[in-house]
Amino acid sequence: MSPRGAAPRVLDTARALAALDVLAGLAETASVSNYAKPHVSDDDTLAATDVRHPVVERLAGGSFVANDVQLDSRDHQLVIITGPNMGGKSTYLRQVALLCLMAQAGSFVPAREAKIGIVDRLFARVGASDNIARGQSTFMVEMQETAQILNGATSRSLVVLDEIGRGTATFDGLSLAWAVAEYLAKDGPARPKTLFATHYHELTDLADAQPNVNNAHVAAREWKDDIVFLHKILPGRSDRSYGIQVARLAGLPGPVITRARTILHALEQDELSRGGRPAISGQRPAPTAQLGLFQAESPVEERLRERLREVDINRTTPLDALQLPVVSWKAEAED
Amino acid sequence: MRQYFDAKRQYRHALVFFRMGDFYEMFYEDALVAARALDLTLTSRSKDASGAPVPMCGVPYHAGDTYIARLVRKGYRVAICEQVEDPKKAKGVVKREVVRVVSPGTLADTGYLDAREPSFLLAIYATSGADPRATAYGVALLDLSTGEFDVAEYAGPDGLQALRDEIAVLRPREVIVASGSDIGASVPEIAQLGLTVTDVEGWHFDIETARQTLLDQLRVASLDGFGLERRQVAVAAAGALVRHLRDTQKAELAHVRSVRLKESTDALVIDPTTLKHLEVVESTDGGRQGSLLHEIDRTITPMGGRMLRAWLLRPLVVLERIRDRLDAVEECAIRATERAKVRETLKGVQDLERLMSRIALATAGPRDLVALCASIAVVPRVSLLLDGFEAPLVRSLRGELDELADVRGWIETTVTAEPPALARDGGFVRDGVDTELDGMRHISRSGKQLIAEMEEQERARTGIASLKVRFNRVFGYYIEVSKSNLHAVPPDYHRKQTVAGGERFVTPALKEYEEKVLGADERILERELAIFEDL
Repeated sequence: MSPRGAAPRVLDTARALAALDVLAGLAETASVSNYAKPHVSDDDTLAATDVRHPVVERLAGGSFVANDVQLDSRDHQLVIITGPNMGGKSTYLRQVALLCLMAQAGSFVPAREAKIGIVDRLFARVGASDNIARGQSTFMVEMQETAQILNGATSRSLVVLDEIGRGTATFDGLSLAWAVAEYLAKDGPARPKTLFATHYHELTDLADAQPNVNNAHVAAREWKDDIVFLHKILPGRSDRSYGIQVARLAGLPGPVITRARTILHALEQDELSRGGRPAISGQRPAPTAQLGLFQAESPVEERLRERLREVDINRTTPLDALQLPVVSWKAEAED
Repeated sequence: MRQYFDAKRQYRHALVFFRMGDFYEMFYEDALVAARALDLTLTSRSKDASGAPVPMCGVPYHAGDTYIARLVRKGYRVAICEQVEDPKKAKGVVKREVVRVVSPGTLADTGYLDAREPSFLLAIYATSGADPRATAYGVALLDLSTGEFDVAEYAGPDGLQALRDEIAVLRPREVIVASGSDIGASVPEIAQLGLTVTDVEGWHFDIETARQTLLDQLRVASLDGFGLERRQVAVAAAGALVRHLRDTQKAELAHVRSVRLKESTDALVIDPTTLKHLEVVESTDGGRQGSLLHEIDRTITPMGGRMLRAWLLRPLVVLERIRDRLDAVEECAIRATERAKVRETLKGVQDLERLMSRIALATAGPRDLVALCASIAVVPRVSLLLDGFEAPLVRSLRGELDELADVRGWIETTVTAEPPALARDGGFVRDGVDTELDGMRHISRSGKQLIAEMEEQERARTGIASLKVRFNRVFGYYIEVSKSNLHAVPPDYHRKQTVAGGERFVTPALKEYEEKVLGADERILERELAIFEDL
């Protein structure tokens, strides 16, 4: 038969060859990269040990730290992950999402063992979006994407969220992150299996109130004021964020680090003076006591502010600056 | 120029490549656009009726494909207007017709496509109604370079979101809509991704017309077999898409004989942002490197590469199907020896889908047939290697392998083993395929034989040992005599040309043979091309 007349038969054969090629290729990858066959089922549990990120693992060349994951619709429906940035939270979120995607595509997975309850939708928001080029603000894009998840996820979905609310002011961000987590864990129409990474430690309080919420944290060890990331995800909350140590590693000038420490210390004192944690878990209704940081200014402060405002820096020479009545202001402040 | 205006009127949205001799010429606005886009020199042709010079530019026809591909990649459409009769036989102006329209979604030439990615053309049909939230969308998706053809239906706000996600994930090269439709307003991704939008007449989407087109294309009496009998909006989109392709490709699309209905519940829903953040098929910088696909893709064939990409973009949700794949991968992983042999064998397979599509679209060359033949020749060996496999998916795929002995037989007996790349170079049809062709070849060969013998005869007759009979394109056959022997030239030699070393002559007998040979050669090529067109 002429080739054109036989086109449908040729194409059917071509597609069967293509599928065999894919299956043999996936087997090849599984052998070369030491992947395991996942146990796929229709139940709601996602449980795996020693999960790796397929791409990062190879780039890390043997030093990749594998991690476990446990998500289900009962006591591990939403897991809040805290811990230092740079600690591997984002990679962890991605590798868990890829684990499901690969298994449901028919591939073996980079894990020692994996039980995968089939998910119907997969949502991942990890890392910055590039929509900024289209003239939308980062925060707007972040919120639109979050809206898609809250509206689209079902109880059979998997959601991994990294740093919701990072694009806005601290209290706005914390409030939004809290509300989003609560919606996914109890108030919303669906309770998708969720990994929720955040640098707002306050969120760990949610686990106290919600039995289906769990805490996990990225392990780090302090050593002589330095920090060592262990890239290990462990159960429970982390007590601090190590942000200042990370900043030091990143090369911020010494005076900035020292100053930051002082401020942090002051803030922590203040928090304690407000009665300590949990500050906004909703269990201790004392909202007025929480405004310490931004309390109304005293009349003296207001007066001093006004004095400073009157100085026109653009028309002040260095010599003028030295002659400013700083001494009298100081006296006024100490009055 | 009247032919030109006719073509231009018919293909208003395309640049018309107007064949004139060895060139494709463009005129007026088309010439201005093409000159800028291709960096060509703009010239002008005499005058039009009002006395103004006509802007014009051209490209050599043998390099036409390259220029067309460059324009199409910039988002233009090109209508190729060829001479459809032999200029020598034409009375008056040679007849010309548009033989094909090439656009971003219909560029099926492998040389210009990424072998690892599909090239989709998408048609969207939207029902009109008072309530926009009740709008239903029918979508048809066709990769002309592989014949893959899918349809889907979406409804309501959730459906619209799913449709928008689908477009962002699949990134079709071109979108076909009814002229005057405002789908662009509901699907901002079309503009954001810079997709080429092609308007076709609204009645192409008319459900009854579309159904008929589809029945005709799929060669069936009912769409039940494809699950489409009640899927009116999907059928409307699919019919309009097929009609548009038949109109622009002027081919019957023999490689599009089935269509698949995609249900949204068939696959794991992954929105475009998730795909991007997980770097599934491309990394954050837009390249393949660093993506999941790049990491795990160890396929051998281009079709396999495209299929793995499709699997990752649309993972499964049905337990049995996932298990089937995993069991198949497991068995391939365990049977390492057979796997290595299968993979080695697959190295002999070229891009079968795209080869077949070129053949169906009549844009293939004779070498593509030989490549097709060599590629399908591996099938029996693959079958044999998979003989002992027990995984149900491997067994069923093995069952789908057709050894295609008849097709191989046809190519082997029809086409020579090492044919030229282009059909117009001729000489690729084997002896014994066609009696008419064999007869003409006999004439040509015996004529050439006679001419060859003539060299000996003339040497004997004139006593000039260095006398040569040769051929060139300008004079045809001639006899060359060196300077020192010119005194011995007989009187029946007619001088044609003086060259550095001597002179060239013809004789009436030589011209007579020449006519036979050249006439036969021309008819041979015509016959070969005709056989090739009918394959």
